[in-house]
Amino acid sequence: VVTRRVLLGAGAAGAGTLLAGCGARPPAPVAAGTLLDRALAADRAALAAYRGLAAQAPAGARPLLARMRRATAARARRLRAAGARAGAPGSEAEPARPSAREAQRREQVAAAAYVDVLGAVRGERRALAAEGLGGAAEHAALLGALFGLPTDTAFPGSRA
Amino acid sequence: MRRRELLVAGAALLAAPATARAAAGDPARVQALRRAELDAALAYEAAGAPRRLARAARDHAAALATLLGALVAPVPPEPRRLEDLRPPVAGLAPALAAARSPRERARAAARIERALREGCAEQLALLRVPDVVRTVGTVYASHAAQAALLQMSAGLDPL
Repeated sequence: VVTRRVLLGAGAAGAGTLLAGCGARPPAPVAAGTLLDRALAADRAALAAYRGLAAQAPAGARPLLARMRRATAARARRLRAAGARAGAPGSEAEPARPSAREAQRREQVAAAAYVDVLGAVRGERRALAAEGLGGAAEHAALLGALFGLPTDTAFPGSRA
Repeated sequence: MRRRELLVAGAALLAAPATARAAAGDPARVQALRRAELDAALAYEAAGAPRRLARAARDHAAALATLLGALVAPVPPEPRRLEDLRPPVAGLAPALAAARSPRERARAAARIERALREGCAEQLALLRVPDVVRTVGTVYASHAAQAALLQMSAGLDPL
């Protein structure tokens, strides 16, 4: 029997094949540009969640958090340079209170957005998406380690 | 759903000629990635590394085997002995086995995770079938995350 974990890992591939096997139509493909826009929105949302988070962290972890925040900002810049367009102002709001769990969740959402981009592009854009995906997955895992949050690292970016 | 049903469903989708042409080269790349995962799992288990590492590697291998079924490609047998390990894990496993402290073990395991991550990155640039690309992407991300955590445990820069 295929475990849920493995099925989730198979991710979009599993979903697509399962849909085909059941006779249902797979979802219509989304344009690569739209997926890049979504990844940018996810990165901006993750970036907003870092604000104020350092105050909650042990002093020794603050430099690392600051680097993670800068790296997330750099991801967003690279997406813009690749043609991604930012959404409406305010669409990536800060959490009501700084929250490590929310920052981790937003990094996981960003990882999933990058996985979507990966399958839709090739060449330099795919390399960009892989770099972004790796960064978001690293950050989600490190936030888990720094703040004692559970983290499933088997298939980051797969959709539950 | 049983694994067999999943494989049959996948094969039905991907057996179409256009999809088969699009998949050119992907099966061999997925087989190589799966082999590296199984090698890593064997090395972790033999060295008594944290269980989550071997478990994740075997989960990745199972997901990649599912992809091979969907691509109508053979799933080669898995390695059973350390002597059967192939690069890159073969060259990194001895340091893991020789590690004498948790920090040394984390450092050696981080090298394996980085090698697996690089292997995925190389194949990601070449893979063609979008669903295969996305799944390998999640495996790549897993190794990126594990490497970061292990480097932190080893007292190294995690980023």
